[in-house]
Amino acid sequence: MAACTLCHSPTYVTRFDRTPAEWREMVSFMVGLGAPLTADEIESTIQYLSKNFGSTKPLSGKGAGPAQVNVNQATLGELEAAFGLSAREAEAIVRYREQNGSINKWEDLKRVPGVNLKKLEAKNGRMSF
Amino acid sequence: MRELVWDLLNSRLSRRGFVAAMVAAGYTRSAAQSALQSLAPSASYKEGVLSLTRAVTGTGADIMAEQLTDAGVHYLFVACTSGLGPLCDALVTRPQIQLIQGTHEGIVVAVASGYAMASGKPGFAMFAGEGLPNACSNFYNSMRDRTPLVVMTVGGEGGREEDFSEAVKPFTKLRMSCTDASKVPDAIHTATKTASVLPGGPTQIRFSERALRQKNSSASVFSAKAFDIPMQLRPDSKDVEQAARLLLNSTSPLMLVGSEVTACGAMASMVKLAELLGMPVESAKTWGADFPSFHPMFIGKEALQSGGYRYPKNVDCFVNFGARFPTSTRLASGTPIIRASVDPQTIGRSTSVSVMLIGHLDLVARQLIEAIQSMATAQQIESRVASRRAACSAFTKATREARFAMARKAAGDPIPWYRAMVELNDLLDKDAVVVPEIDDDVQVTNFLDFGDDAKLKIGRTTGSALGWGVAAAAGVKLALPNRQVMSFQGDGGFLFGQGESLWTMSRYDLPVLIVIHNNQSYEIPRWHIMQAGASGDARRDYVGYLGDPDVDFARLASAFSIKGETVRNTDQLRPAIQRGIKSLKDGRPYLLDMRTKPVGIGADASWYPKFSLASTRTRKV
Repeated sequence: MAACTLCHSPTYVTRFDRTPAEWREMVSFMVGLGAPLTADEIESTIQYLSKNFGSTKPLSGKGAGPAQVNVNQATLGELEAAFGLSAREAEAIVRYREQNGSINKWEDLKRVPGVNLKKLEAKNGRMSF
Repeated sequence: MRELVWDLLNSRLSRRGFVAAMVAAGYTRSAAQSALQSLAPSASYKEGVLSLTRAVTGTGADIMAEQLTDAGVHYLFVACTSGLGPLCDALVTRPQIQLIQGTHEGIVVAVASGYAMASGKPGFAMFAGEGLPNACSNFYNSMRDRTPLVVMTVGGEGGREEDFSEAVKPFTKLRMSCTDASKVPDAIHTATKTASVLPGGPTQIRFSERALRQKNSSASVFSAKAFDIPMQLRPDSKDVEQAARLLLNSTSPLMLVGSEVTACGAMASMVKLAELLGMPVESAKTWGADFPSFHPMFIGKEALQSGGYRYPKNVDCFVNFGARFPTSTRLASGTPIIRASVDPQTIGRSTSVSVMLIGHLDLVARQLIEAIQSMATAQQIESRVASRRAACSAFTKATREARFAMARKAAGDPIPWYRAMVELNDLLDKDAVVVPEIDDDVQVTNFLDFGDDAKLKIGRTTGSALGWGVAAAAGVKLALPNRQVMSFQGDGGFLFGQGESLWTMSRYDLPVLIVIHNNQSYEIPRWHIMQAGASGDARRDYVGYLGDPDVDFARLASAFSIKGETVRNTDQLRPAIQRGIKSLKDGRPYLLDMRTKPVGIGADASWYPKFSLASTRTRKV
């Protein structure tokens, strides 16, 4: 960590947990930018970060992960597929936006009758308004 | 007094008459004699005067063209304006001046600045006064880099009230106005000398179109000699001695180098000084590569050490050659600081300095070396520095080898950028010129071999105002036609209106390899914005994401008749670079849209604030 904080705050490191492969990528990136580490230190840094800030679930890379879905523009099928909703729940969202206008924030979704919010919450990362 | 000197230099006044007129003006006779002596440029005073000027008759624009020719100007960088009409007429019989056109004034100033940085000569540009606001950001960059530019604008008689010179006032060393054809050479001479004397910087002359059209005008134009009067300041010898003693007695010295080293051509002396003292060297934010990037004493960029030093420890003497303070360097309170600069205005403004060495940096370094060697024998110096030289060499070797080994192993789709840098270092010419404009130029200095006998780095401009690099690379190629040139851009920087620079490259067959490090993101701003706070928590990348629309830069290049290709993975990398190099050999620019992987905070977030005006319309028109 001492090599990391030569340039930036620890927040850059601890903000998100990563898999070992992702930590290798991140440490390589930083070494490329000039983090002064020897070969042995690179390996021990990756091990330290994987152990203390590790994750089994990868952060999806841009272009590689699932696309964002706009709840105001999505079709019934897209709402079902993206958020794991039933056909009835998807219809409720479409009906709500037709009657009330755009859904602008998470709080608006709480007002949609008949939608299981836990399903939506689980897929919140894919949602845009 | 100025008029008397002018009359004397033009033989309109005798030496005796000059002294008499000076006395009549209130000067003492000895002062007048002293002034007379100082005006003699050589043993043969009269010959000297005659060799500095020659008479020219014609329009104001004819006089301008003659003066530019005698000043050694070959390229004049222009943007179209009707005010160029008189000069176009003058150029019909003066093909020695080659116009290089840009599609707007900001590009023109960037091309001129790249030319000046690469050639060491001032860049001359000309366009409408109304174009000055367009050019502001690159004026600013040039002032930060202290690049010698002479920007001539034309106009001012059309009834406009605005003085467009005000737009560039903070970014120029001098602004002047010329409304008389006979004064055109004076204006160009003054602006050129002012721009060139270190620390350099842009100057601007506002010509009236009427003056350029004025017929049958007579003027004395200055010869090249009049533009080439050496201005090398020598440092005070007592200050040099004091600095030498501090460095000799230091057990852990550290040297910071900045852009003035490159401007003074002082890299070789820096190397000699660092090697003599076994002194680690770090680099400030700079448009050059002021120390060989692969040298055993070079520990990297100073910004990387902002949290304190991993190596060296316990710095007890810090010497700054040509970098601006304040820097992000962290020193213990009371650490002696030696500051060397050609610019006395920058010394002691924000940092307590122990010794000031004002002078041309190459002279300063040479005298410092002499002073150190006069204070101790070679054996005595070696016994003090050998162990730290070995320690520094071991540190830089281990970290550099680890970096390269890591980069060579990296592979993928999209491309890890550090792998691309290794390939570029391998495939580009050993003496290629690299013009970077990316977030942090450590991305090039950590992987490309820069030095006096290696690659040359010009950029990123220390002003950091985006929209400079591609045009600057065009200017660099014009200055160094027989060296391979690469423009290295981020996709975000390229989208700062740099597509139009391709027009200039295509029009004049400027074989430049344009590499776009395309991670579809403004990466560093994204890190800063999303590292803490609600947008980061929600994984919302409000302004960093550039992937929608997915710009096809190779197709953009083809619109300017420039070939190019998209490089998506590491398998495609080497063949694509080789095709680009082949195109340069054939005399044409080539663009590589290199798809690189975004990394770090927010790289996983593909959310951005989508909006479609079309979907909100009530009438589909």
